[in-house]
Parts: sequence; C-alpha cells; structure tokens
Amino acid sequence: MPSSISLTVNGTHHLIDVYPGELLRTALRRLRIFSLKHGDETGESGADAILFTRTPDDPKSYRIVNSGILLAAQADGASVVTLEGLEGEDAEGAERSRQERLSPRISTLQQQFIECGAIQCGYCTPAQILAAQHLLDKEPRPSEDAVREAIAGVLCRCTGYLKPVQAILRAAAQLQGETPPAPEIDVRDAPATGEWPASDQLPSNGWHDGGPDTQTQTRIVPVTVAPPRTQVVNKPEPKVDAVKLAKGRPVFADDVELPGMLYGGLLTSPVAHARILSIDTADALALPGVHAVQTYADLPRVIYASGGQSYPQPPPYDQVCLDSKVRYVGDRVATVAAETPELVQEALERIRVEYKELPAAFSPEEAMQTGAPVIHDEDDAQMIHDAKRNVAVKLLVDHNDVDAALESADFVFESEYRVHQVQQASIEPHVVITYWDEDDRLVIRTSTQVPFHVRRMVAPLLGLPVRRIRVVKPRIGGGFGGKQEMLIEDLCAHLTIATGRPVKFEYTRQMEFSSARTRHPQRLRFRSGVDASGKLVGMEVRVVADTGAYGTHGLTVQMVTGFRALSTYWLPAARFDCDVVYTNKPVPGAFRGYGAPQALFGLEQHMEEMALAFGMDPTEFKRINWVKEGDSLVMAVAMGEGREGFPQTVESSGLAECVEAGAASIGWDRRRDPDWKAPPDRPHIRRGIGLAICMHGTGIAGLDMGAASIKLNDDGSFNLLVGATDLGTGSDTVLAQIAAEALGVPLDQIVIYSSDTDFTPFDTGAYASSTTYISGGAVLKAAEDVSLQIRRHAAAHMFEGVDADQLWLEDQKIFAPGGRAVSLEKVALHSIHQEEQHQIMATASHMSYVSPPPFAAQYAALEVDTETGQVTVEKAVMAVDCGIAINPVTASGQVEGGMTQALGYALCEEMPYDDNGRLQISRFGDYRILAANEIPELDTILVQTYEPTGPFGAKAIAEIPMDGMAPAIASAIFDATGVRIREIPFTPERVWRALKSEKK
Amino acid sequence: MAILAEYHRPKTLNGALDLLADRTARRVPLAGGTHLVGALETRQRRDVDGVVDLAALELSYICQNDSSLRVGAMTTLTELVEHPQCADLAAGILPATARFEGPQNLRNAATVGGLVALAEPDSELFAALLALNVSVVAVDKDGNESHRLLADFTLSHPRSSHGPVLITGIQLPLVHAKTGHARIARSPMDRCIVAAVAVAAANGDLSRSGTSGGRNRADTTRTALCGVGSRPQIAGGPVLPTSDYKGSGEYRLAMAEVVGRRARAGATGSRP
Repeated sequence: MPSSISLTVNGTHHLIDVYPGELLRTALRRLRIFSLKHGDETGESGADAILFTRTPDDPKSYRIVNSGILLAAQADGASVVTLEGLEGEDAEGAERSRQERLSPRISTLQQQFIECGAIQCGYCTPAQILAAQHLLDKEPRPSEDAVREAIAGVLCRCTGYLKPVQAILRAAAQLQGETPPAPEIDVRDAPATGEWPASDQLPSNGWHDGGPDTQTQTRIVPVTVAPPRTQVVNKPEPKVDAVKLAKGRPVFADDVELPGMLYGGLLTSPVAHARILSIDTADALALPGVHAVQTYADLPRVIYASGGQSYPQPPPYDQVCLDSKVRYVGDRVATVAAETPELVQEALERIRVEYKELPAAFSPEEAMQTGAPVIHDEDDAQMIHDAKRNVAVKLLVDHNDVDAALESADFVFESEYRVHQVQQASIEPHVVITYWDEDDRLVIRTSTQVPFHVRRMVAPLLGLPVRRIRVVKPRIGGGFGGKQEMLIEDLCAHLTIATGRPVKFEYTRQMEFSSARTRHPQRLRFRSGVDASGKLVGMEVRVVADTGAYGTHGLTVQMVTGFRALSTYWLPAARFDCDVVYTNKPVPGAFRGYGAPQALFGLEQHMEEMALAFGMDPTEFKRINWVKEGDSLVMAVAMGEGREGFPQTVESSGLAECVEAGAASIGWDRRRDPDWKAPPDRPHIRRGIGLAICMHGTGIAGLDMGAASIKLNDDGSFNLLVGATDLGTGSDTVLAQIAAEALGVPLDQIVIYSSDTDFTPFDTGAYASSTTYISGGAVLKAAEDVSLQIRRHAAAHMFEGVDADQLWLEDQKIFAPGGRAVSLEKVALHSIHQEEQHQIMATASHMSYVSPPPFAAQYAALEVDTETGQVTVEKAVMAVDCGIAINPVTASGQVEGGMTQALGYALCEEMPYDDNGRLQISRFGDYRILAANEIPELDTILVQTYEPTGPFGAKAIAEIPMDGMAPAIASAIFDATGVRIREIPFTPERVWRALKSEKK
Repeated sequence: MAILAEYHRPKTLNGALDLLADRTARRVPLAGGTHLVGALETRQRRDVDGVVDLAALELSYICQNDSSLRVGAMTTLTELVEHPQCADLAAGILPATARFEGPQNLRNAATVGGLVALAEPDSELFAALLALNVSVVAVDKDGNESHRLLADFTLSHPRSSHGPVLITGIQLPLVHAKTGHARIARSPMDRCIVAAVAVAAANGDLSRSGTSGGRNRADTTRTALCGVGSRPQIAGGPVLPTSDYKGSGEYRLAMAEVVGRRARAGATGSRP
C-alpha cells in the first residue's frame, strides 16, 4: 500500500504517495525531475545523485547521495536539491523576467562544462555538475585532487574526466573573479607532404579562396596542412546540444511518460545451455495489472542476425525473438508487460520454466572439439559455417604466398597472445519505448546507434512493413558499439502489439552485463619473417575468436582484426586464418575499435618481440615497416567487412610526427635513467615506458552511406537534417560545423536534427568511425548544393550581370566581386515570398570507396610493484593524426575518453565466469570502470594532416584511441621488468605470476 | 526491482526491536541503505517483506566518553571521518581507509552500523576499526545493551533469543598511535584484493578501551587484514583465503604477508 511522504524538492514542498519499495529516484522522476538518470541499481554509477538533508534548516547539512539506493519512504521529511534547483531557473515558481525566459540561464559551472567540452553524451553531466557545485559551495578554490574526489562518485564512460575537471577548476577561478585563459588543445600540423588541391573549380572540400578581391583561381597552396581560412571548421565550437545536456533536460529515451504506458521485463536463462521443456505463465498472467506474458510459443519464428549492419546482414542468421532453447546464462526466455515495474518483477518470478540442461562449452577450444555440444542444432539457422563444430564463421584470406615468403625469410618469429571479454558499459542502459501512433504506425523510441538498421531489421520480426514503423533516436547516453545492435526493440514492440499500449523496456545493469553485448575474446598467433635489413617479408595471423552464443558481429569484427593486423605494416605476403566459434557465453558484438584493439595488442607486442629477438630497436623496426603515404593496403580488397573490399592507398599519414611528439610528451628518454627506472628509495618498484602505434579506418569503404538535407529558412538560418546518430561523440556539432563553413554562417545559424526515420534521410548510423567522413561528406555536398542555389537566386535577382560562380557566401551574406553584398535573410525572403518562389534546399548522399586510415602513437609510463604485481599507470599519451580536426575540442575529448576505456581494458575490466558459465560480476564496482580520482595524467596531441578525400581534410578519430593502450602498457611492463605478458588484463596476480615464473 | 510490503520508521529502540522480533513478517533493519536497497532492487535479497528504518532512533552522534569516542550506529562514514577527533585519530587512518569504502556519494549515506553489520571482507575501514580495537555496542531483542570487541562480534538474527540483534554504536579508543596501511587493488581506488592496516600505539596499549580485558596487550603492533577470509581479521591467526575473480587463494595468502609487512613497517617506521 502506498503511504504519503512529505518531501521538499528544490524548495518546493510536495506530499506524494509512494510504495514501500519505491526508490527516491523513481519518485523524483515522477515529479518530472529528469536530471536524475538510471545508471544502475546499486549506487555505483552516481547518475542519480542528489543533494539531500533531513535537516533543511541547516544549509550546510546537504550531502550528495544517490537517489537510486534510497527508498522514497526514507526521504519523508527530507529536502532534496537537484540540478534543476541549483539556480532556481527551472524550479517551480522561480521568478524570471520575460527577457530571461527567452534565453536559457547558464550557470558559470554549466558554461565552463560547455566551453571546455566536458559534455559528451551528457547522461552523467547533471550529476557531475551537481557534485561540482556542491564542492564549490564548500570550497571555492578547490585543488584538482579535491575536484576529482568530488566527482568520483559519478561514473563517466565518455570523457576520461579531464575536461570535466578542467571545467570545474576554471569555473572556480571565474567565480573568484579571475578570467581563466581559453582551454588549450594541443593541435599541431604535421610537416606536410601534401598540398591543398589545385583546381579551376571550387574545391570539393568546400574551402574556397574567398576574399572579395580574389577570383577563384588555379593555385598551389604552399606546404601546409591546416585549412588556411576557415571560420567554423577546425575551431573549438561548443557542442550544439550542450545547453540542454548541461541543464539536464529530458532528452533521453527514458525521459518521457506516455499515457497508459506499461513496463516491460525480460526473464533470462539461469542455465548456460538447455531446452525449454515447458513454460507455465498462468500465475504471472493471473496477477492483476499484468497485461501480457510472451514466450516462444507466442511469437512468430523468424530467423535473423541482430548486428546493426547494412543490408544484407552479414551471416550467420542464428537468432529468433524467443526460442525454445537457451544458449547462455542471460539468454531470452520470456517477456512481461505490466502496470508497474514491481508487478513486472513479480510476474517474472511467477513464470515457471522447466529446463532440460545440456552440456555446455565455455571456450572455443572446448567448443571445437569432437563431441562437443552443438550450440546451434536448430534446422532453420542459416549460413553457419560448420554448426556441428560450433564454427559460426571461417575466414581464410591469402595475399601472395606467405609460406614461401616465410621460407625465404632471414628470420622468422612466432608468438601468441590472448585478449579477453569486456563490456561497453555505457552509463545509460539499453532502453526503448514503443507505441502505436494515431495512424496505427508503430513508433520505436530507442537508445540506438543505428535507427535505420533497426527499422529495417525489426520489420520482418514484427510482421510489419517498414513504412508502418518509425524509429526515433533521442539523445543517447553512450553506446561505444553496444547499441549498434537491434537488441531489445523487437521484444518491446511485440509487447505493444500484444497489449495495444505503450511499453517501456529498460535493461538493468546486471542485464547489461549478462544479456547485452561485449567485446570478442580472441587467441591470436602471429608468425612473421623479416629479411636481413629488417623489412617484413610476410606475416601469418591465426585467430580463434569467441562469439558467444550468437554470431551477430562475429564475421565483421574478426575481419577487422585481420585487416588491422595485416595492414598496419606493409607486407609483401600475408595470410589471415580465423575461426569464429560459438560458446555458451554472453554474446560479443561491436565495441569501439571493432576487432582492432585485439589485433593491435598482438601485433604491437609481436613486432616488439621480433625486433628484440632480431637485435633491432623496436621503434626503428616499426618505423621501417609501417605503411606510409603512397603505400597500398594489400589486404583491403580481400578483406572488406563481410564482403569484398576496395583498393586502398594511404594518402595522408602523420605517424612519424605522432611518434616523435608522443615521445617528447611521455619523456621517452627516461627509459635510460636508472634512478627513474629503479627508484633507490622504493626497492620493489620498477618503472617503464612503452609505445604502440595504431592505424584504424574511416568508415567502411564502398558500404557506409550517409545522407543529409539542408533547407534555408526565412531569416537566413538553415535546418540540417541528418540520419547520422550522435551518441555523445559530438557528431551533430561537427556536421553542423561543416554545413556552417560551407554556407558562410556562424554555427548558431545551423539548426540540426538527428535522427528520426520519418524525418531525416538515411544514414548507416554511428559506427566504424564513419560519421565525420561519410555523413560529413553528405552534409558538405548538400551545403554546396544549397550554396549554389542561393548564389543562383542572388545572381538572377540581386546582382545583375554577375554569374553565380562569381559569388560567395560569408558572414551570413552573399558577396560579389567589388564588395557588394546582400544578406542571406534577404535572399531567403526573396526566394520564398517574392519572386521565382521556391524552397532553397538540397539533399545529398555520400559514400566512399576509400577508408583513409588515421594513425596514432600511444605511450604509457608506469610503475610495477614487483612484490605484488600491481601496475600503476602514471601517464598516458596519445598523439593522433586524424586529418584536420573539424572540432579540436570534441576530437581531443574522443581521445581522452577512448584512452581511459583502453586503460580499463588493459588493467581492470573483465568478465569472469564460474564453472557453469555464470558471470561473476553484475554491477559496477565488480566490473571496474575507472573513476575520476584514479585516472593517470592524460596528454592528447592532435597531429594534423590533410586528407584529400575527407571533408575539409578530416578523417576519423573516434575508435583509434581504444587500439594501442594495452600493447603500450605491455611494452612498458616489459621495459620496467624485462617480463613479457601476452595476455590482458594486467591484473596484479597475472603480473605477479609472470614475474615469479621469470625468476624461476 | 524491490518488492517490499512494508516500510517502518520507529521512533524508539524498543519499537524497532519489536518490529524486528515480530514473526508476522520478515523484516530487516535499514540503516543507510547503500547495501540493502541495492540488494533488494536487484532481487539479490528476496527474503525481505519489510524494512525497519533506524533513521529516527537518534543514533547519529559522536561523543567523547573518557578515553574513547562513542559513535552512534547511524553516523555516516563521512560524519565519522570528518569529526575532528576521528580524523586525527591514529595518524588519520580512518579517513585514509574510508576512501576505499566507495566515493562520497556512498560514504554520505553508508553508516558505521551498516559497516560493522556487513563486515565485508574487503572493507579497509572495518580493518582499521579492528586494528584500533574498537568495541561494538549492541542490544539484544529485549533491549539489553552489550559491548563486545569488534574482532569477536557477530550479529544474531533479529528474532534470535540470544545475542545482539541491533548495533547501536561503536566505542572508538582515543589512542595515540602510528599507523600503516598497504593495499593491492586492480586500480588505485578499487576495493582491495588484499590490504592491511597496522596500528602501533604510542603508549603501548591498545586494549584499554576494549571491554574484554587484557586481550591484545600492548607493545605489539596490531595488524588487521582484508581479503583473506570471509571478513577482515586480525593478523596472526590462521589465514584461509578463498579464490575469486580478483585473486586466487594462493595469491591472497602470499600478498597477506607482503601488505602485512608493509603496513607494520609504516606503523613502526621501519623498512618494509
């Protein structure tokens, strides 16, 4: 029974009815306090932090606590302050003038979060700002340590905390009357080997010479790389969505309440491998308020693959919505829709399932053995390579005769590495709301990276045509590949179809770990040969990958592993041999890096080990072998993602400069300082520095396609509609910058909207580091088209005798030679209302047959406790060539966040299982993602080159930060101790055992 | 999703004890909730019909009592370590170890009573309290108060006819002591795999504030270990660590020696 509690929220008193088990977070969100987010159930994410006191008369008594681990009833008589209440602006009854209400009020702290680029997905931002404000109220001049401690309880998976900490320190200084200098981003131009394009036409990259006295002309720009005269591109523009995120507005999938909405839940398998003999749902259905219980018997059996990829889906096709067999602990069994989350839980617990347990296999080695249990023995699965041996996919790719090459080599080296399973762990769990609209079309509001793929993929599962489905992607609270999957949308939609009611379905954190997606574990064996000069003559890579119970991204992730392993260094001959194997474990899928971190962990160590065995300096060995400008990527044709690829040549590379710049930052020379390496006052400590180089891709050549629409408004502003999916990376901002640059307007004149399958054009979605390059290319084309239409209209009606090609757009005006100009607003009003009326707008698509590689050097400096095996990273550096950084702030944010995830991959994140295939972790904390107060010093250096195929010279940056940190740390551990560890994570015990065995 | 039928917030200790002893429902005490609410929400605990919130029992206080501090069970970990005498006690070992109980969001809600009741094997603050020879003040189902050394303390079932069923506070000796603390973890702020806290009392006696007489006599450094058993324990007894994903029993056993040595060296100023 509910009871009434008295609660003051942001100064307003409420009497609300709460159930005994209701959380304070839930109660507050019922009061429309949407800045509180659900990150977990055990209080470790801190996304639901509030300021709380039971003695509100004492303003100093407020403490920051997590509202998700307080019962609402515990708060009876208490007072709560949330982000909405900090400045009073959004609180009920707050007085503001009309003028104030016309523009949002931004606090100093919020402003600094925006200026510093401290907001990526923004899911944890309200809690971070609240914690920071609470700190500044107590300590107006906090130290950096105090800042880190203050926000340590709010986990952020995007930023690496560097920019939030900078923002808080700068806000503190500003509040003390100081004027902190502009935030600094280390952006350098690599000594150019390229040049700006020479053409009689406006370059297709959108840059134009532009000055009023200068005609477009053929010219060779002197050796340089940075755009010489951009106004918006290559500038640290604030994120276009930053204000709403800084203010904690209801922008995420979960932030709506629909009339009559039900709650959905999923019963998952407690056993690793079993047939379902029976499911009794009667008790669950008998509960008043339970509207639907669905099992395999209730849903059509349609075979599909869940990876969010382009049509046709890469095989295998081995899933159905609900099956009569379960293949891992956490697999789908049944769903429920009910009036309240509590009822859902109760109903799930009343479903009785009789399982016939089957033998299970928990490693690829076990699964491939003769007599191993067959995980996919169903007869309707399609395109499984060898179901009887549990091999989902077999990849075998040869370039020239690698056996002959190795035979002829002066030196052959072979080594093996293992990488483990980790999770994307976005702070926002998977969440979806489905409902019928007034036209009987199914609306799916979902936290996804791939809205268009979801629409196409879910349609046959539901038996609906694509035209009756609308997928809306609101803001996303992080994805990192985990949401490149059609994961729960089908189940929720089936519940809406069954009940006719809106249904909300959200994973718990435990379900995120057990029933969402992860990174593929792999065993990688390298065999390479070199000639007497140290040049590689051939390399063979053999990979055995664990794809868990379903194939989903198994083919394509492993293909990328092979491509990265065999393309970073130039190889006359190469072979990739890979088995992607089913096991009875939770399912790997897409995760930032997409097979590259696995490849690079093996490759970079293999190269280093080989150099040392061969008697060569490892960096020099890498330098003479890494691919350089003009080199072809020999495996590109044979190793497209799931299909044949296209020839690739490296057009730009700043790798040498990255290695140099990173070495200076990390203090590479300290490797030769005995006192630094073995500090005399700490005899059990050894220090080392390691390097790994990385090469990634920029989109999927010949496959990824993005489209954009731009239209001119009456006031000279533009609407930009993109199907691209900003999952926190800042892609909306970057795309708007590209449009603004090409249209000669400030960023605030571009109103961007992404993405809704009804209203925005197609885009493959946010993955494969493609958005800036592919979607940006589409935006640029559309903007150039709109620019031409504007200039034509202006030439025809406003600049008599002047050709459209002689006009240019700048400063929200159209300029003609001689200095004449009219405003964009005048052209807009004229074209819409006055003469030759028409809507100036354009839609453009872009795809590319090339995927220009970004390059990077990643360094780690660390210490190893030789008695305990504990590794402590002191500093991590990444110098990265991402082409021209469209936005240096968001680009550097990607690096910092990616490096931090990569540190976790190398050191402390892992998914351990018991002997029955049950995950031994179910919560943050057990699954350790790094907090603000334990991050080493991070340094990011953007080494700019000009990529001729990219918009304004850009290539990718989002994934490459994930690739090289683990091998850099392995290298540093070796430098510190002389011990090579070929398996991650570098947990204290693993390192201790390696040190111990070396002593023997 | 927590499924609770009852929430109670009694105003008296006897009221709380009556609710807990009542056999008509399965009720458990609710202190800060940082552990219990999560356990209910995740359905890790399904054996609970109702909670008895201790917030109104006026058990949140710190006061000096001769040579010790009496700390109420509902005192939060933050209040504990921010109290000037607690903060300075034994070279600041309480704030130093409390950091590893979790970030301030959790420490602001977690209570001393909850910490003692849970006795989590990797609780370094618990180990510090052990090393400081804290005693626990608790009441039985009839409200009779008892004091027991933390090392010997276990909580009885709320309906048990014997033994303490509700923690009301701890007795913290105001010793002048040097301390050492050593830990091993997957990351700097992760909960430990193995840790040790050593206390070397300057006046040579750590037993004065305890109520069990002459145990743990002075002139010795008192060391408590985490991660080597089902709860933190005083070093010197049998150590039988079990394996889990953070560390094997073999590793924990070997590391117990290392962190114990380092913590003692920190406390005594000797070389580890």
